[in-house]
This record gives sequence, C-alpha cells and structure tokens, in this order.
Amino acid sequence: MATSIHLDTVRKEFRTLGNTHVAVDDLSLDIPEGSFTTFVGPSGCGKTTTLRMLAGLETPTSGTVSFGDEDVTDLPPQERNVSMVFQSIALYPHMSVRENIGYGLKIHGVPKAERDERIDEAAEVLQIEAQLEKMPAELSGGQQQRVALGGAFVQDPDVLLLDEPMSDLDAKLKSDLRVEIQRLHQELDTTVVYVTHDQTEAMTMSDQVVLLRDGELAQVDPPKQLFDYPNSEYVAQFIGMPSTNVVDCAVEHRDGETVLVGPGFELSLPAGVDAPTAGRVRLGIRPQYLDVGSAGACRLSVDVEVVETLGTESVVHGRLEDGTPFDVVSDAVDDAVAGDRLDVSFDLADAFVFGEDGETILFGSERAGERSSSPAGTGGVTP
Amino acid sequence: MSTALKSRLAAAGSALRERDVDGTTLLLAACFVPMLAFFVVVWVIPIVYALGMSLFASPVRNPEFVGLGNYAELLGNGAFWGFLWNSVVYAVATTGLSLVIGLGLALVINQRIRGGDALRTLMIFPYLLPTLVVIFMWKFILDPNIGILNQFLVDAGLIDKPIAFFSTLEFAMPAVVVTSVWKFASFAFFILLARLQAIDPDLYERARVEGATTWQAFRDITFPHLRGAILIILLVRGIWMFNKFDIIYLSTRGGPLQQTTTLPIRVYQLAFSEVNFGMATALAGVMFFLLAGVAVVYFRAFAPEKEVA
Repeated sequence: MATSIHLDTVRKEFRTLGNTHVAVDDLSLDIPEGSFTTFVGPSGCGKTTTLRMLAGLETPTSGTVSFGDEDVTDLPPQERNVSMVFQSIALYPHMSVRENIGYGLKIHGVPKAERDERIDEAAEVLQIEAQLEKMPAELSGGQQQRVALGGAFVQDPDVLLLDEPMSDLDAKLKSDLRVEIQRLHQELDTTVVYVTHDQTEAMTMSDQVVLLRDGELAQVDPPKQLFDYPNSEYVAQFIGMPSTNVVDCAVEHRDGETVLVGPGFELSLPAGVDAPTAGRVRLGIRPQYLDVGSAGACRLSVDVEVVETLGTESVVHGRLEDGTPFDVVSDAVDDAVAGDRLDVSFDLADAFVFGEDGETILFGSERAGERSSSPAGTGGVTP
Repeated sequence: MSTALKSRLAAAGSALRERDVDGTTLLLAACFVPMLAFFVVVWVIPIVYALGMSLFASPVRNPEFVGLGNYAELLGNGAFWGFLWNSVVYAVATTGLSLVIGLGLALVINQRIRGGDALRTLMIFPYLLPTLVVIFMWKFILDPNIGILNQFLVDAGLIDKPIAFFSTLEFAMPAVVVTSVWKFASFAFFILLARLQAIDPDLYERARVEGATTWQAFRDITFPHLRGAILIILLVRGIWMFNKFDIIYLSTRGGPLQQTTTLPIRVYQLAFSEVNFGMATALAGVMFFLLAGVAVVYFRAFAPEKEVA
C-alpha cells in the first residue's frame, strides 16, 4: 500500500571533531501517496541525507518523519516497509541474481514457492529472466541495475527509495531505464522517492520535484511549474539546459516608469510591479527564449565563443559586451562560428526579474500574457 | 630496392628474430634455474635424503637397510598414537582459539570504535615479539612463586595454593596453548580484518532496509565474505601449529611426563637425545605424508581458494 510521507521541520546535523555540519536544515515537506517525487540539487545539498532519513538509515537530529499518520522518526529500517536502491547498486556478490532479488522476501519468511513466483514475475518485467541463475559479477552495468530494482520492488514496499541509481550508467542506458522506472511506478502501488543530481531525470520522471540548496528547500513544484515559475535565481539557473542567462541591470525611474538598463538594452517594466525604483536587479532569460534577429523589444549582441550543434538546433556559448556569459539556443544559428557577433532579442514575456536577495520579483510571462510560441528544446520537459 | 638487398634484409631479420627467441629463453632460464637449484638443494635433496635414511637402522654409524621396518615399529608402538594425539590437540586448540579470538577482535575493531586504530597497532606486537620473549613473559605470568595469575587466583579464593602451570600434568598443555594463542591470534585477526574492511558497507545498509537483523546480516553477508579466508587460516595455521617446535620445546621440553610431546618434539628427541636417526626420519616422513594427505582432502572438500568477488 502506497503511503504519503510528511517531513516536519526535519533537521540533521553531523558532528565531526567539534565541527557541526548541518546537512538538512528544518525541512518541511509533504509527499503525496503514490506520487513520484524527485529530490534534486548539487552535491552536498542534503538530498541523499533526506532519503536516508526516510529509509531509517539516519535518525533526524530534530523534527519528525511520518508515513501516513504513523510517526516513523525513530523506527529502524527493518520496521518500515521501504525498499531502497543504492547508488553503488549494492548487489550481494556471493548470491545469484535470483537470491539477490529474493533476499528481502526470504528474510520476511516468504515460502520458497511464492518467492520464486514473485522473482520470476519481477525478472520478466525487467527482462532479466535469462540472468536469474548468474552471479552479479557476470552481468553488465545495466543488468545489475535492473537486478537492484527487482530486489527493491519485489517486496511490494509502501515507499520505494532510489539514491542516484543511474549515476554510473551510460546515456543510452539511462534513457531506457528512465522509461522503465516510470512504467514500474505506474504498475506499482508505491510512493517513489528518487534522488538525483541530474535535472533531466528529475524533470522527465517526476510528479513533483524538490529542489534543495545547502540543506534547505529551494522550491517544490511539478516540473513544468518549476521550469516556468522558478521562485529564485538559484532555481532558474539549476533547472533548464543550458542554464538561464542572468544579466546585471540598473533600475532607473523615468516619468513614472521603471526601466531596467542592461548591457546594450533597456526594458520598461509594466506598472504595478513590486520592483525597487533604484539600485540593481538581475534579469534572467532562458537561452531557448531568445530570438535570433530583432523581432523582440530588447536587443543584445553576443560575441560567439563556442557553437554546439545538436542536430535540430544549436547552442551558442558567448559573452555580452560587458563580459557576462550568455548562451543562445536556436535553430537559426547553424552557420555561426567563434568570433561572430550574433544579434538576438527578447520580450518581457521571456524574462524573469530577480531582486538583490535572489528571489523572483517578476515572471515576465505573467505580466505580458502567455508566450506566443512554445519553447523549443527544453530538454523534453513535459508535465 | 634490389632483390639482393631485400633477401639480405630478410635473412638479417630472421636471424634477429631467432636470436630474440633465444634471448627470451635464456632470460627465462636465468630467472628460473637459480630458484630451481635452490629449491632442489634446500628442499628436495634433504627430503629425499631423510626419507632414504628412514629406511635404515642406525643410518649414520652402522647403516643397515631395514626397508619399512622403522615405520612398522613406529606405528606398532602405542606411544606414537599418544604423541599424534598431543599434536592434534595442540594444533586444533591453538588454531581454533586463535581464529575465534582473532575473528572476535576483528569484528569489534571493524565497527570503527574509539581507539580502534591504537588497538589494531597493539595487535601486531605479540606477532613481532621473538618466541623466546613471549615464553619468558608467560613463564613469569604463570610462575607459581612470583606469577601474577597465581597471585590473582589465590587472592580471589579460586585456588588454595599456587599452581606450577607448565609442569603440572593437567595444566601443561593448556598453558602452552594459551602462550601460543597469545602470540598467533593476531595472524587470523589481520587477515580477517582486511577481509572485513573490503566488504561494501552498502551491503549491510541494504540488508537492514530489507529487514535483516544483525545476526542475519552476519550470517548472510559477513560470513560468506570471510569463508575463504577462514578456511585458509585453518589450513595454514593448522599445518604450522601441527609442526610447531620452538614454543613447546622452549616452554616445557615436551614434559611433564611427555604430556606436551607432539610429533615434532618427538622427532627432535629421537634424533638428538636418542641419536636414532632412522626412527626420527621415519617419524618425520609419517608427519609429511599425514599433512599432505590432510591438505589434499581439505582442498577437495572445501575449495578454500574460491573467494567471493
């Protein structure tokens, strides 16, 4: 039976030699029953520590963890109906694939006949029937990963935890397994919590994405929402490939209008925006939302440094006149080469405005109405 | 290029290649022959010579060929079986206890307890100390007049009067076993600790999440990883202890009343006290074939060389 998960001001500190390191800093979060939730963030952001607290492998320093209505904060892993796939895959090297998948069932006293039936079923779903009697060392990386997955879901857990399970696999295998994990989630009555540093995995698989920063919650939202409405510069830069361009702008107040002055462009903010009337802000523009040419209201010149051709489109890495790194994704720049100057433009609808504290103070699309054309090449982001 | 030049080059090439083969063979021989010669001189000749001596009565002064007569006399003599029993008791007790104590300490120190590193360093000392020093130490500890153990036992009211452990019938063998185990337990300890530290800690976490208790995790993860090492320790340590001479001879000389006379001690007595080289070499020959037989059966039965990945 899938269960919902509630974290209430969960804090985890690690003490080493008199230093206290706060790995997770008062995190509160609800994970709906049966959902697929992904924890994402850079190394050291606390995502794996949080997952380990869900597994019971770490005990929070303070705060509570509940599965449904049951407080499991201090329960050892053995007393929670959870399964976990480790980053190292962690197959028992001295057991056959069959024994590896069935170990949890054996520990729980499931009779051999039923055990074998469930193992065969799992092996069929994961297409590893032919490997059942082999030893882990005889398997390829992708097959080992499937065995680990099989061992986890064969126990019919309430919560399935996956700790960067694909970090050691090549790109092709990753995309295959992504689809398989989603299919499994649809078939199983299980709440899935998935940890990754790979935003593509987070965006493609999840019902909701939890983005962490230094042990604190940066934002939790469905992938599309996270992409379109990042609540801070950090979120806008972390989500999306390549990263959102961020440009320093001066704020000027002219004739009752607030105007952002950037390197080579000016942008009038609509009335009623809660923006400072002086000082500096930062403007965020996704590389995919830039038009090559001068169709947009604000124009910029980018000095091209590197061009990556992806087939249907190209990624241009360059700099603005003041040296700010600036990327453009477009299908109209195939002939650009290093040293070229590329004229691009954008509208308010394509921009985010971040205050000095990094919080988003304006979502351009909200103010200027929906964007006219749907963004291309956003790394397969679909809700 | 002219045909003549080509054929000359080809000839030079093949000559060079032939010389290369010769060079490699020579190098292999140069590496191999000294070792082989050393092995033959130091091992094969003495073994064959000793086995030859075992076929003679009084082989040094007045050799008389008796065939397997020495062997028949040995095996027909009840004393042999007593010495064999002493050897087996000593080898099994010291190996078994060393393994149990070494494994216990390795499991404890592998938990990364406070002070574990210091303990690990301390563990090497008994193994480094010369046997003679170890024996002096234990003779002092177990001494009936000034020994701390007797002092302690008497003070605690466990015994009425001090015991001369090394020279009392029922305590001599246990005293030698304790002395030996103290010195050799670290052998098992270091091998097993190294194996334990090579086990992926994620396996234990996975087992916990899958519901395994500490005991189940030991049985299903730790033990299978240690199995090969334990079997090798039992075999190697068992053979070494079966053949052990110094620690027993230096502490008890095989006494009291031959209570601690193992086969190696008996070989020494036969050869150098009773100057009966025929019987001594015959007994050594019996030990040799006995151990070879045990080792072959052991490898067939347990395949200790098969380690987990």
